[in-house]
Amino acid sequence: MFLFLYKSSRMILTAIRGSHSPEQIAFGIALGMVIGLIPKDSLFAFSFGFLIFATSVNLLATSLSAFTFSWIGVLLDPVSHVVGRLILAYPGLQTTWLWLHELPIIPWTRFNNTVVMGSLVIGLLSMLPLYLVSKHLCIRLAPGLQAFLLRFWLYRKLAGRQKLAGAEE
Amino acid sequence: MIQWKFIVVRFSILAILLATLHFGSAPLLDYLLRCSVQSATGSRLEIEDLNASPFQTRVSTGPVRLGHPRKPLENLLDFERAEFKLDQAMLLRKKFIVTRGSVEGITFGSGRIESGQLEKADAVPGSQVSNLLAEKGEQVTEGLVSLLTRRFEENFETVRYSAEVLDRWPDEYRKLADEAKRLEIRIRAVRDLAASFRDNPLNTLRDLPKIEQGFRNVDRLRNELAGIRNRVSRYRAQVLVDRKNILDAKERDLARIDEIRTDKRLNGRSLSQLLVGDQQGKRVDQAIAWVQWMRKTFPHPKKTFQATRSRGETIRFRGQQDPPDLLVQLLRLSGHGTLDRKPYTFTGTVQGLTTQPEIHGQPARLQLQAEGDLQFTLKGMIDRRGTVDHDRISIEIPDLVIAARNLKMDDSVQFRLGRGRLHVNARIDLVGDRISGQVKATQKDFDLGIESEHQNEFAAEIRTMLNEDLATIREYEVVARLSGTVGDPQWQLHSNLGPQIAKAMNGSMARGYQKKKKELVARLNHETDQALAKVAGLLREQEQKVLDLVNEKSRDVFRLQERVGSLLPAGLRIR
Repeated sequence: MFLFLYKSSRMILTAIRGSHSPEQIAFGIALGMVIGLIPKDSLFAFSFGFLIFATSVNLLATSLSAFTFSWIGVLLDPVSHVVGRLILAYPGLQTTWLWLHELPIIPWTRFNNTVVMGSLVIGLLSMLPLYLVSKHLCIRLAPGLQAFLLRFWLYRKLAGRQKLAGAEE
Repeated sequence: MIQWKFIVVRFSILAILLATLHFGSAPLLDYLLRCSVQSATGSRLEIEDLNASPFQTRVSTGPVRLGHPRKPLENLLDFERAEFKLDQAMLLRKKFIVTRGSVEGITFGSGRIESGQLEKADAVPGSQVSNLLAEKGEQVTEGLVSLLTRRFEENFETVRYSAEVLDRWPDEYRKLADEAKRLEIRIRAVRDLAASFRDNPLNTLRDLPKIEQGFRNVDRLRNELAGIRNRVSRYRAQVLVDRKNILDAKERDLARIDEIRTDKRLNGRSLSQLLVGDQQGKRVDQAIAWVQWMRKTFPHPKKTFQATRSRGETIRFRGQQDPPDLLVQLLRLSGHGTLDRKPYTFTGTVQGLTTQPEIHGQPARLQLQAEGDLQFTLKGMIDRRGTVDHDRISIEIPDLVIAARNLKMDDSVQFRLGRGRLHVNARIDLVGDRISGQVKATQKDFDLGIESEHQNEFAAEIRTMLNEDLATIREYEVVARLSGTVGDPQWQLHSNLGPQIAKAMNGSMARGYQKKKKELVARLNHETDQALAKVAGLLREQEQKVLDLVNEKSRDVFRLQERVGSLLPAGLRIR
């Protein structure tokens, strides 16, 4: 019984934690950035949340990224507002916006809000660069960082790793 | 490669989150509603069986009770059941449109076992009405009560003076009679002297000095009798002067009677304030309270519900024609209540209630129809489309039974207003803070009378006449015209009741005074005639009595003078 519970909890933890690969961590950071930038009362934020749950991105990295970029997003509001206003007020897109606005579900995204649209666009445009940068950093810094983190009991439990031979000293 | 174990586990977690959202929405909404309503009203809100979820288009609740902020064991409002049906298509477009809803079993002012207060509410200022009524009452009371309690001074000067005259002259004549009677002794002395001389004529010369003395005494007696006669003549003249004085006093008394006036004329306006001011004031207060309730309950959404979200700007696209974000198209209301101890049931509707009235383009409308002991129709309009709030309320009570009541003017005088039926019609507009409109009440078929404990004759007569005149008043109208602001509403009362009563009462008073004056004049004439007759009788009787006495004594003295004169020798003269 106890063994079953232990195995189940480990499986859940593993599933929540996601993959440790640099790509998954970098993708998680990029997705977290988009979620963090977009105001949370938009359906966009929830959609990206679903995407996180639907993929095996590293949830820890995603959460930390979303939390961090939530604060950055607030600071970026003036820029997002300008960008969003430019896009939403663009004459050639008015018909499209109106059509979208009259579709079901879409109004819940609050896409007609300047900050939502601006932060979405900024977030989407920043995803690829951030993914690449994050992936590069993960590859370079991960071994040293992991060795450092493995010294901590909590990380070892969360990560499901044993101490490295060099780190036991 | 899809890692299914990730997906299964994560979607399981997601399902749990969604389930939590579904089942937790109702408690969360319950909590939020209670927090917001309780903080706004300061009284306890209890909600049972709230059923709400973001995944369904129906919100319903069981019994809901909102405590009264100022009455611990009373509910301000409670209802048994409420249900709201949301437009699904609009919900997908982020529009909360209540296509139809119902709130059933609404009750105002029902009792409760536990206190519904959260904290001690501020004392509410008293009624805005009835403030000047006491003062008005005093003004009216002063006139009426002084009228009913007035006692006329009936001690006429004529009567007083006549009594004095009739008291004085008998004494005077008695004194004259006494003087005449006192002469009798001296007459007898002279007579005895004369008799002694006649018995012995030889002594005449010897007794000549005594004879001379008797002769002089007789002469004095004659003079004194003449003096008495002269005084009688003077008295007669004086009595005639007194008679004239009595007549002069009568003229003065008549002038005083003529000066008696109903100097306290009742003012119809003040009387209206006194008689119907408090009841009409209550009705005005109720109507104003309804408007204030509407203004408070339905504040301007833009001014009151400022969006807390300040991030960005929501763009409205050209050609976009949206309904408001939140709109109650139709909400049916039903319930029951009590007003002035009269139970009633009501049904009604609320239409067009929205947080964005400028987009909806129509004002919200409220309609209530009450049946039972109290019947009324209430229509309200709540217009928040412009920058200036506009509320309108109209109330019609077709047949309000008013119980009989007494209106005390002081400890001993009161008006009795009998049971009657009242038709009330009110229409009040509130534009911005300015209030205007009128509350009109018409009462038919009622009895009106006055009661007084004053038992004097005049009060009784006046009371009878007043009641006869007041009985002819069968209908009156009261109009309260409103002005001022919602925080400080003013109203002016106009009624034809006060003027009708004042006219009747002033007429009664005038007739009463006229009658009383006639009675006083008749009484004065009677008193004067009696006094003059007595004076004339006195003059005739007493004077004759004295004159008879004086004449008798004069004859005696004359005979005595002859007798004494015959005693003297011939040619002898007494000087």
